[in-house]
Amino acid sequence: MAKRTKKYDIFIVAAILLFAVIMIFLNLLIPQKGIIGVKVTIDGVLAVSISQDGLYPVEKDGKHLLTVEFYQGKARVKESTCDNQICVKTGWISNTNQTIVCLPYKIVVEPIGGKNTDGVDIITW
Amino acid sequence: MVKSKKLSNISILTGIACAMYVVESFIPLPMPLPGVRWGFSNLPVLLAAVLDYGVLSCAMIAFGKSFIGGLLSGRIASATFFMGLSGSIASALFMGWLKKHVPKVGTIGISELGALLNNTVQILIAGLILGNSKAVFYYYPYLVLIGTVTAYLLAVVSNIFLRSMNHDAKV
Ligand SMILES: [Zn+2]
Repeated sequence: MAKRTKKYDIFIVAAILLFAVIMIFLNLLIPQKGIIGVKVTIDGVLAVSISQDGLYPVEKDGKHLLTVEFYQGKARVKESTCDNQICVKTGWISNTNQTIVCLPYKIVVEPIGGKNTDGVDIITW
Repeated sequence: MVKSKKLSNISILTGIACAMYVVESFIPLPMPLPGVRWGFSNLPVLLAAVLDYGVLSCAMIAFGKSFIGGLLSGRIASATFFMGLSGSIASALFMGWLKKHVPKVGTIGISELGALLNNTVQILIAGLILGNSKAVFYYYPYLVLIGTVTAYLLAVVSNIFLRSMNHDAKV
């Protein structure tokens, strides 16, 4: 009987796992900066730029899509009318490595660079 | 294999894939990933690949699954639909090709490489749709990890099928 698990298979699985783990580590190595605001894009086009605490409804062509909340250096999609609610389930984001994506509406909530976690203000525009 | 037998097998595999496609959308992922699914419905595509049905047969099952599954789940023409369609066709072609031309790679390897390509293409399409590739790349490593688990399970199940079909002579 031919063996179905060939030794190359083990190399392939190991290589793919290593690839994923390295990417996750690289992500963690990037200095985590607090955020001073977020920008919301629809279809790659800037819809609203947020830097003050509050609730920001996002709409397109008069139709309400979702509400972004920014509060004390954290942002989330508070509610959305999209079908899968993944943007809402993503929850709060608080550093510049993260994003919130609403695929049905092609919306991206992207942090605006902020201050270092050690307290020194480095505001990048 | 007789041609009509192969054709009917492909139809059966496509039907199973459609059913799995609809069912898998109800199984939640361990974390919210935009537009991403487990990918269990790639099992019939993997089976067609390891049975050496050829790249076209694999691609047909992948297309049928995405199209009919998309209609049934009401996802047709949505962002998720295009991600799934491009990802599964790319991986179907690749898996069929691997089986034919790279004999050193076994079922697990074919399944894992197929899943990796599937996920990579899905992320690229999502980046294109969103007009922002950086946004989705953050999710990519986690997607690859989930894909590795799914692909391993699919390979194990495929091997069980192959054994029960007594397909040893050809594998
Ligand atoms: Zn959403």
